[in-house]
Amino acid sequence: MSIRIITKNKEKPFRLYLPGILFYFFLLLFIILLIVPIIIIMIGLLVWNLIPGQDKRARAYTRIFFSVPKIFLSIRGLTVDVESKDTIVKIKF
Amino acid sequence: MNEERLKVLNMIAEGKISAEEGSKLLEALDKKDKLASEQAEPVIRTKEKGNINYLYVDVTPKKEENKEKVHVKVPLALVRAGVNIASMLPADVQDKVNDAMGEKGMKFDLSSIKPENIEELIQALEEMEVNIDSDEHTVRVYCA
Repeated sequence: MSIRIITKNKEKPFRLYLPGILFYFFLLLFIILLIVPIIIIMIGLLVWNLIPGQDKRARAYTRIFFSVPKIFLSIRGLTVDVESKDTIVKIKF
Repeated sequence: MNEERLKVLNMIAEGKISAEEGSKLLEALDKKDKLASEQAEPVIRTKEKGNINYLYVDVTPKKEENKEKVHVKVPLALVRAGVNIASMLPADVQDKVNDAMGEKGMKFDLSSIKPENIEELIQALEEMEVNIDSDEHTVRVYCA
């Protein structure tokens, strides 16, 4: 996963490269920061699943919640390359 | 080297058949192998044909001086994951999504897409190819 932005303007050159490892580092940091809210949500879902009459809805949302990492995994391979008159943008997941 | 060829060579070495007869037998075996590989080829082709992983969107300029290009590669695994999550939505939420899409002009029933049909849909995408030719750009949407 990387982002590369390069301007073609020779007078004001701009180059930005964010390597994949940096994203994984931020993702790790993000997970560490969100670990408490994630646990709270999981407990909330567990309690919701135990409420009689609410099991269908609760189960659906629980399955959606646990499917979120799947989206991140399946996004791998997504590539966006855009080249305009003065800029080149390359995004690779 | 396969077993049959070894047998022929052994027969020549033992003097059971002459070198000329052995050569004819080896030629016959070559023909047999060639025929078998030709028959096996369509099977391999269909296997490759069914293996599509990405949806591509390419926008290329027609004129050399126009340097605006777009290349997008979307993994079909993302479509699978999206459909799976959409199918998990409770019925009332699906209705809300359908209404919202209907307001935007896309009359679409989200509940009609089932995860078991997604492979069929993806296989159908294999045949899809959209080519748009404008004065300045060529747009190509395809799966591979």
